Amino acid sequence: MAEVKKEIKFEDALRKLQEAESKISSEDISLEESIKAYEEGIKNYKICADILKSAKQKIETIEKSE
Amino acid sequence: MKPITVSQLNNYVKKVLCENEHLKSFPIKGEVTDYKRKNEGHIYFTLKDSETGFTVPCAMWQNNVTKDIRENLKEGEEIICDCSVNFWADKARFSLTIKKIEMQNKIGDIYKQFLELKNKLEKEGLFDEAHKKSIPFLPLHIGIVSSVSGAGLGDAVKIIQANNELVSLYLFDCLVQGESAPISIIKQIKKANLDYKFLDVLIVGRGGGAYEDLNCFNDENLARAVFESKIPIVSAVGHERDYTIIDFVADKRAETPTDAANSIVKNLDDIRFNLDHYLGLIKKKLASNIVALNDRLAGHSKAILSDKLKLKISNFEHRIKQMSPELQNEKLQNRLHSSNYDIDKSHERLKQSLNNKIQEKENKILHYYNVIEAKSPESILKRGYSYITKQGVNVSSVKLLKKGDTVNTVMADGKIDMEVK
Repeated sequence: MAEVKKEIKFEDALRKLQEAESKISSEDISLEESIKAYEEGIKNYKICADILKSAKQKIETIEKSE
Repeated sequence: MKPITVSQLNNYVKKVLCENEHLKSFPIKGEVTDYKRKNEGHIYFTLKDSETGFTVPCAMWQNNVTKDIRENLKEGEEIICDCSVNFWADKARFSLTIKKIEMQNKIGDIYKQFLELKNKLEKEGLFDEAHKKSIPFLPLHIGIVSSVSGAGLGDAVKIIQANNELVSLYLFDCLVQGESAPISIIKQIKKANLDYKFLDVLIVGRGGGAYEDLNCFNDENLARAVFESKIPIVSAVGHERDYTIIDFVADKRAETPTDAANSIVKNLDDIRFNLDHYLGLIKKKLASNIVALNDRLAGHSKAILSDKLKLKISNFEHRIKQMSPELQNEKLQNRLHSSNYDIDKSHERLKQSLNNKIQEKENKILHYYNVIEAKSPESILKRGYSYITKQGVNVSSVKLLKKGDTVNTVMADGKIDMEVK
């Protein structure tokens, strides 16, 4: 049976990566904020990549109960 | 010619009739007359063409007689049957063996019940958008509640596997037709919610069929089980035009299991491309922000702060000179001197702390620049890697190439055209 580990969802990490991108692209961002957004982006990119890396395909059939 | 016996004749006719491919399984329509139900459960009637009055005797064996037929079939009913031709050699009697009956007015009844249930559940709020759970963007554990022997399921599985080879599939086998189907489906939905809580989404459905066959998805208890499921449910029953009750209760409706598979499983290559796209944008932006901010910081350190201080000092001197001569004594001169000294000192301190800050930021900039530089295409190429483009588009898979294609290979020190063999 698969692990019940779902603390961080792929879509949440992807959303944060997209947010980091739009933050770092905004006009009036300071250097501190720029670096923070970069770190946040890299962190969430890694989460997404890890989720994809750890997923393995399998097929299980659950018989019908009588 | 030598005479043949009656048995030979009858057996020959039986062979001709019963082995004829066209007469083995076909639909026929007509009106039920002379209806009889025997104790063993078999039913017998005569099917009449109401326009010509022609008739044919029919028999339906007990194992094909459903509760619905037992309760509702009656004289005068217009029906459509699936049947085969039978010939009783002993009495040269010809009849039809009926496998399935579709009652014309029964379809009307099913629709009426469907509407009543739909109105009832709608009033209770089971269809409200507020209750709909969202389907995850990247479902990696997908459950399918359907018949594992059904064609609809097979197609959906194929599509999911083709779109995304990381998805794990959990096939909850159940009946998808007949009286026992709703209970069978409900049991599997409950099992999924109990023992497979980690599932991202459940597809519940079957491939298309006659409206009567899909009727098990119009069951009230099934609708409630779908509503209560903690796992988001995508209904996928039959074809485009066929709506069933669970289509309204489900968190999302797909027209068919194939459609469900296509709509919820995103293409893995697209996802990876998106991720890399955002990573590239972020790196590029950080680099350009660093350059811009570095320029601004350099400007600040040279000019602005020291100018402000100088202005303050000269204002102070000017005010002293404006004062009356009797106040310009030695004591005051001394005080002015020491004030000037203080100002110089604080100016120095400010400059120092600003320089420290700039240094600190420059160090950070250098660090991130190195991180970006290490991942830049140029530095990767310098390490001996190369990449291939075809008509200006990057080639990321051998599937995109065929024999005879001319590609352009980019290395650290130049480009070269190559031909695929």
